[in-house]
Amino acid sequence: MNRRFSIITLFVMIFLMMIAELKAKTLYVVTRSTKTYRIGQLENPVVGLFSTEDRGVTWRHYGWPYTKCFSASMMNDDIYLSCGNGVLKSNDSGDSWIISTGWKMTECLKTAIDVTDPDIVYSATAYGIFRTADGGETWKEKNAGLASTFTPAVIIDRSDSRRLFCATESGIHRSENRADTWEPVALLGKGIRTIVQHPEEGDLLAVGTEDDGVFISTDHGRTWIQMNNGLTTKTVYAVAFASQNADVIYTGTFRGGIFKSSDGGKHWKAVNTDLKNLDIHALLVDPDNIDIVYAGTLNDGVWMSTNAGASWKFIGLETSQVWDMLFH
Amino acid sequence: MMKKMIISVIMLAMATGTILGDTGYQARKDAVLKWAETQEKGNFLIAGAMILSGRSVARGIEIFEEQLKRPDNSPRGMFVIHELMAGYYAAGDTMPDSLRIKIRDYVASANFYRGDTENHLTMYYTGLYLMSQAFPDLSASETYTGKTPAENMAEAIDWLHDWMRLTTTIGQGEFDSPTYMTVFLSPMFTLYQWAEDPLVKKQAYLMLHWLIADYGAEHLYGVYGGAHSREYPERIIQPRHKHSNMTSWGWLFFGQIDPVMHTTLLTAAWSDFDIPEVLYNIGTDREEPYVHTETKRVRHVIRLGDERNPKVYKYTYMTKDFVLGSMMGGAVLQPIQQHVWDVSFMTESPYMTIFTVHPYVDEPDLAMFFPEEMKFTIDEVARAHTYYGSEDKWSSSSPYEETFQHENAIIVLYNIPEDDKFGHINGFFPRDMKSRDVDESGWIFCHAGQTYIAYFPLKPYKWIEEDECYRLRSHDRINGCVVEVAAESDYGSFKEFKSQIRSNNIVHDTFDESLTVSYTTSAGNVMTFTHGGVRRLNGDVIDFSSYGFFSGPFLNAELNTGQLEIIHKNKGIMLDMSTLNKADVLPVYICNKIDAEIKMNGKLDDPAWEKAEKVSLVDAITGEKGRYDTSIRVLHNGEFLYVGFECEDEYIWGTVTERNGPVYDEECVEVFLNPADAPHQYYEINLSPKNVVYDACVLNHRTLEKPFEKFEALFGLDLKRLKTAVHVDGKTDVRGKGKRWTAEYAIPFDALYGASNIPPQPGDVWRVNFYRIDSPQEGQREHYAWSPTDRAAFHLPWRFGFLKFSE
Repeated sequence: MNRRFSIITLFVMIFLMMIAELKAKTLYVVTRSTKTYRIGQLENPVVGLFSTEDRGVTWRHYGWPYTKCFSASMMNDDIYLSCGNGVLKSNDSGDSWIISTGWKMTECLKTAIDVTDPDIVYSATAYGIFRTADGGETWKEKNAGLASTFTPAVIIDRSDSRRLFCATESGIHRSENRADTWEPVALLGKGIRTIVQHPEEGDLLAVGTEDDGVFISTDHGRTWIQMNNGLTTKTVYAVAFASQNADVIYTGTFRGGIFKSSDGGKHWKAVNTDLKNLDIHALLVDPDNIDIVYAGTLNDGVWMSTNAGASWKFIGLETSQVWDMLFH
Repeated sequence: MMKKMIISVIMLAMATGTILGDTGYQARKDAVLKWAETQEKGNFLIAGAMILSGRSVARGIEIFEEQLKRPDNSPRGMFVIHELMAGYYAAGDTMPDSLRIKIRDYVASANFYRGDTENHLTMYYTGLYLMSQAFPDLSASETYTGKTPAENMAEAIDWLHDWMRLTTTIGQGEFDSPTYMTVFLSPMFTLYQWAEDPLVKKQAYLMLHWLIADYGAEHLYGVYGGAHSREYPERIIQPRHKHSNMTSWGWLFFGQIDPVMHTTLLTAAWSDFDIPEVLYNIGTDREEPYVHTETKRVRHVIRLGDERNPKVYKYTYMTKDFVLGSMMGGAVLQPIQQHVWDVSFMTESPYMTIFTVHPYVDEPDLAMFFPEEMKFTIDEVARAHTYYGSEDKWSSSSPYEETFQHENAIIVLYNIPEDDKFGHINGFFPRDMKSRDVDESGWIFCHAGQTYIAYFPLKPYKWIEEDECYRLRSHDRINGCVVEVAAESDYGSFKEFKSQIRSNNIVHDTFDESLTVSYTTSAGNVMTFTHGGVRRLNGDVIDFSSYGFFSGPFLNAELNTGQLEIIHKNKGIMLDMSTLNKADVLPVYICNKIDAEIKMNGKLDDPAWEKAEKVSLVDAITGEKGRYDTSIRVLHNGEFLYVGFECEDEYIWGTVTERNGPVYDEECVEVFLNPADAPHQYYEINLSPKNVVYDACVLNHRTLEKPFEKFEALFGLDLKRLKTAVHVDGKTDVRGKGKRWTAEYAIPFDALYGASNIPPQPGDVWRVNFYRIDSPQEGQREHYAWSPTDRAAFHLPWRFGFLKFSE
């Protein structure tokens, strides 16, 4: 009886782990618009937040059919969606939504949730950084020290939630006090499009720039080195680390497609086989399988590689402008 | 009680611009409503109009139902929420409850996208405001925002106030757009008509004045003249385009042209807003040519610029035949749809304009205004605006294009870098002009409508024949033109015009090196202009700060004041938005100066009075016309302020004979003067039909917030050298035997205290009011005022109008 129970228990546990595993692999995609969109057109395709749990076979859409979305952040059941109407929030995994912000927050581009206190969220917008400490009930502008208030991205340091990095139109900025003040760190005058931190190796960060390719920091953002060897297109909208191997990095460029480095950015090589659109705005490496990589294109939906970038296939959201992707 | 009083104050303020003559506005509004009834298809506005009329109710309901079934996955959300709520309110009580519930459910869950431009947000927040007002019982969980109606309303009004504040202090970002002005006007009409909060209603009322005035000063027979922040190419080449919204509004406000219907006109057509006489006049009076300048601003620069809203300087020359207008350029002031200069002339053809443009395409300049990735933005913009990347486009915002205009002449210069994508300029010359003569002198002489246009190309060019025009294309990167425009009536013939222009001196020998061109106009003015440098008129450098916020014969305002003076022929109104919660519209009177003393006999028959504009007094409480005609005139000669009253009356009487006796208890006229702009003290000088004077200095604690505070009249001033005279036409003290009485004051400036200048200098402004008390029966008193006060009381200094001493 006990043995039988143990076997059943084991199977149940394995089943639950499989479900958990599947759940962990849910891919979320944020689309800003589609190439068939026309203002005034009677029927437009639905855009916004989508998810797939089966690598693009089926898709689920969440919330608003149109609100010009740029990105999403998630923690537990909370979702923050950065949109034209402000930051939309769901606290039930996307079943219902509110606009957490007022009129002063517009053209919201990216959010970051503090894992140590999920009520603290930062929003990077076209008008600077805003912070909420009450889960989106109230937001305060936090631009002190920013050389440019156009901030496409903000991230929270995994090792110290008081420290933030943000991408601005004029360089990388860092805050040591939860965005109360900012100081420029590097690349002043350069338009920074994205900033990412390696999921495991916290000292490793990378940025993509408008015209200057990729810069990588291996010392926790203190110094940044331009690493463009082989990167034939210097407009970089997306950078993705492989959590399993700090040497594996992908970049998504405008007009040049995807580049891969297997040596921490020292050398890059275009990996665009079968990819029909070379305007890349989002990239993700599957944390459970380093060979599986997702690419979000501008106007041609989501693509996937199952061979570490050697070739790509379209998996869904045809004609969509993919602005952001994440696993949750 | 207080709320009622505030409402009445507001309604009174709204009456200040009362129509005194028939402008045909009501008839045109009626025509719009009738037109809407006949439409087979339509939007929420049409549906609302059909139900409102009572004649097409069923069809109106059908349209509502059809529209509510439309998917809401549209970036037009801001249009929909505004039109839906406007139509909903217009339909009123006739709307069946079942439809009302459907609308309630729809607006609660529809996920309206609010957009990213000022016009988008004006529509969106107007719609959200009215949605919150219409359905106050929705819970937060029932609204698509997740906020209660009260919270939504607060957010909406906060945004609308911010937009009003910006617009009335530094201008609109999407300024003077023939296409987009409509989506500021129509939400303001909607808000004015349907907002229940009297303060919001009043603010919308003032914004309507502001917007219509802004348009009216550059309006010519349905054409929005001058330079524009945003306009579509097909409408730039056809300034009176059938789909140009402001042509529709021009017809509605000012008449003059054939009707051009547009659904957004419905928001005005069902409104009880009447266009004030002064606005109608500034939109239609082109008797004298005039220069009108404006300082506007760029829409929000979100990156790649140091300033959020750099200034834009506009210059427009208006005549009865043509408009020549420009903005100074030299920067990308607006992305995509900027229109820097043109001359528009009145012809039957829709292609009634000449202008040049450099087709400019650039990523960073788009990125200044859009948050998307800058290289991608070009593709995205070109998808919505297919002309954007074209070398032939007619709307463009080139940083290499600069202008210098003086009255009817303009120099346009280009300095296009070698690495710029397009190294040419395009000129639009309509095909169907009477003449387009290329002269041996180099000038191109055009004759269209009643207008002569002379165009001197500074570089070689070729003509390209197209459907609508002859395109002048010139491929030099250092390029430009000189243009002078005149009315037929200015010359005996086209030949004479040509002859004059040929004789005008153009110096451009060193243009390639110095980037400088000099032109002596037919009027003898020497315009010298260096691209990237200064503009000189007769040697003096042009200072843009002299442009003011608005400057011209009709509109005057300084930046950051929130006040706009609107004048036509020495009378008009002041819009005061300096404190939004006290927003007000008050009358303005221009006090002309005369050289001599007026011979006073009470009859106002001195010829000098003809130099004063006669202005009617209205019922002080309602703002409507009073029982008897009453008017005032004001002049000064540097020594005396002259005030004349004319009072129609059938029973002219008075028993007070002692100076400073209580004439205000019987019949009198009253002059309240505040030379110091100190609201708590002013002079009161009353005069009875028996020429008995009461004069006092008044100390008054009343304010808008505390309108019943006490005040003290220190009477018996016996102002030195004050002169008065009265004449009675008919008999006094006999009921029914009077006709009218007239009164004259000569108030010596040197007897008054508090003014900055004695005598007043040109441009000085005093706060004043003029009143009359009439007592047709014993115990019955009727109160007249120049600036009505809302109640039978005159000591309300915040309601005083503006007496401006003329230049």
